[in-house]
Parts: sequence; C-alpha cells; structure tokens
Amino acid sequence: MASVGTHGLFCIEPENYAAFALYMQCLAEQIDATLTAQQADIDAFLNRPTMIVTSAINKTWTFPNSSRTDIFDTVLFNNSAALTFTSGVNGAINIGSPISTPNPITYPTGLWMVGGTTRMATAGASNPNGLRTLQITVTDDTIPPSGQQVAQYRDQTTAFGVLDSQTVKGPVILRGSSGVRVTGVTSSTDLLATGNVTVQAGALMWVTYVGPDELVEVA
Amino acid sequence: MPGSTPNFGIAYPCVGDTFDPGLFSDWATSIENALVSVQEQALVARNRPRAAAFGTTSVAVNVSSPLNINTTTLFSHTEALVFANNIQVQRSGVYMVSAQIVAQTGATTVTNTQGNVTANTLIIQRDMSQSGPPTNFVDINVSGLVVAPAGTVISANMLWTGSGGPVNFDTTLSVAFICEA
Repeated sequence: MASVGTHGLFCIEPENYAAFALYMQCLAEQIDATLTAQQADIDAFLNRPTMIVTSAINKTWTFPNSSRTDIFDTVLFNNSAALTFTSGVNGAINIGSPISTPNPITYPTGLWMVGGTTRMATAGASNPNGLRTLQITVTDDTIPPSGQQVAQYRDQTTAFGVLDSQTVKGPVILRGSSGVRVTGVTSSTDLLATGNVTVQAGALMWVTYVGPDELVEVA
Repeated sequence: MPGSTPNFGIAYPCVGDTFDPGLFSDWATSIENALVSVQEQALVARNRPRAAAFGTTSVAVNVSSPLNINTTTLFSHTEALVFANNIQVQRSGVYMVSAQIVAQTGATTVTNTQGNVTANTLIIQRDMSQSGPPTNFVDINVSGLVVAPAGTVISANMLWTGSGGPVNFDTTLSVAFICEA
C-alpha cells in the first residue's frame, strides 16, 4: 500500500484489491484514531489549566505582626490535575506536583499568567504613610540548590482610608516539569500599636496557562 | 453486518456484507460526518468569546455608579454581547475581565477613588485613598479571572468620596474567554 499525506493514511495498489474490505476497515480505524487525537488537542486548547482560589473568611493581623501568608483557603475553580492547592501558613497553588512527590504530575511548559486581588480594611490606629501590599510570588522548588523565585508581582496602596484594594497580575515562563508554587502574601507597614488590618473575605488568587513559549513546528 | 469505529462511528464492511454502492456511500458519508464534527469543534475553539467597549459616565460623590460603555464598541462577539453599561457572556467559562477607569477632571477634594468589575456576585476591586486631600483622582486599572456561567453580566462601577463633582469618568471594559467551566 502507498502512504498518503502526513496522518498515516494509505491507499491500495493493484495487488491489494482482493483485500478491499479490509482496506476500508483499516482506513476507517486510522481516520478515527487521527480525528480522536485532533479532538484531544482541541479539548486541551479549550481547557487550558486554570485555578482560582479565594478566601471564605476575613483574615486579620494585629500589631506587631505585619503580614499573613494564609489568606487563601478555598478552591473556587480548577480544571486540571496538574494544579493543586495547599492551604494554611505559606499556602500555595502548586503547578505540577509538589517537589519530592513520587510519580509527580507534570505541568505544560511555557507561558503562564498569575494574579490576585484583595481588599484590606484598617481599624484602630495607622500611620497615614503606611502601605498595604498584595504580593504574588512564583517559586520553582526544583531549581538547585534549594529552589528559586522565578517571578514576583506586587500592588501597593497607601493606608489613608479605611478600605483599600489591590490587584496584581503578570506573566511567568515555566520550563520545568513540577514543583512550582504560587504564593500570595498580604502585608502592611506603619501599623501602630492599637491598629489592625483585615483582608476581607472574597480575596482572589489565580493561575492560568497561556501556551507554549517555543515555536511549534507542524510537519 | 457492517462494523463501525469506536469514537466516530465510521462504517466499514465485515464478513458476510455484500459489496454494493450503498456500502461505499455509507463509508464516505460517515468519514465526512466525522470530519465535519471535528471541524466544527475546531471552529468553536478558535472563535473564543471576547468583547471590549468604551464610554463616559457622570458620577456624583458618594454614589456607587455603574459605568457606561456605550460610546464605542471596540470589538464584540456573538457570545459576548455589549450593552449600554455591561457585557453579557453567553458561553460558560472562565474569563479575564479588565476595566480602565480615568477621571476627565478633578473635584473639590478627593479622598478615595474606588473602581471595580463585577461578575454576578464576584467583585474585583481596586481603590486608593489619598491624604491632603488632593483635588485629583488616581487612575484605576482593575483585572482578574472570574468564573462566569452563561448569562453572566459583567460591569464596571465607580465610587468616589470627597466633595464637589459630579465628575466624568472614561471607562474601557473588556472580557476575554480563558477556558471552559
């Protein structure tokens, strides 16, 4: 049989005519397999890994504390086994399985976007020159010797009012396989002894995969 | 009796089937149907809902006001419809939403500038307080991901405190499909 095109299809030649029925079956099955693969590519395109986490309750810190690392506590949306969430102190969105996981689930390499938004309310006394900060950090734990920060984005507002909101987003290129953490930290400066800062429920942090950052050649 | 492939049901002859033109017709037709099915899915995948529009709104002090986007539609889509002060998405999904809000003038005093984007009950907000207080506003750019079922209304709002006004605010609101939800 002679090969046709680039999808593994073929056509019969004179010596194959006796097996025409078999040819039809084989060609049908080859087309089915090729279209199934294309359908999987389309599904992957429509369902790029994305996770959104939020906070279900208010989180407060009081002088002399100046930050919290456990703001986010609830998964709002996730469409990928490559994304997991660890709540609590130093909580994080995990891109790929955390480092040292046996048989880790890998992530697609290339361009990702990360971001978040928070609303902070100041109560009690605060220096009006103080800052309120939302900081999103991407750390690749697999980069020796003990991991490396690969991106960091922050938004800051001044603490003149009772309620201020922050929003941040930015890109990051990931070329490993697993072990990446995305953390969100809220912090303040110039908080006086009788003051406190509350990050209101409904804060958001998110990651989404945009696509490969290297040229994909179609043969 | 003819067999068929597991995923797309492409028909092919089996032992005992009679070779006639109908058999070839069924085979070609089922291949055609499979190709059309994947082609339609590819078209949907390429044709992702997105929209952006611009408008101006007069906002009084201390009044939370929906912002108009009825001056210019920058781009729209059959599944992301632009209305006078909101964009409605018709396909369920996760969307990137963004609003740029800029005051045309100042006011007597400005103590806080608060802009947000709402998607049903979800709010993404950016606001800034100022001491002094000054007479100028800060520009607001707020964006993030939202989960939006079909029919979700996405809008931008402004609330400012201080004195004087009302003040005209220019708004560009945009939405872009990220993934299915």
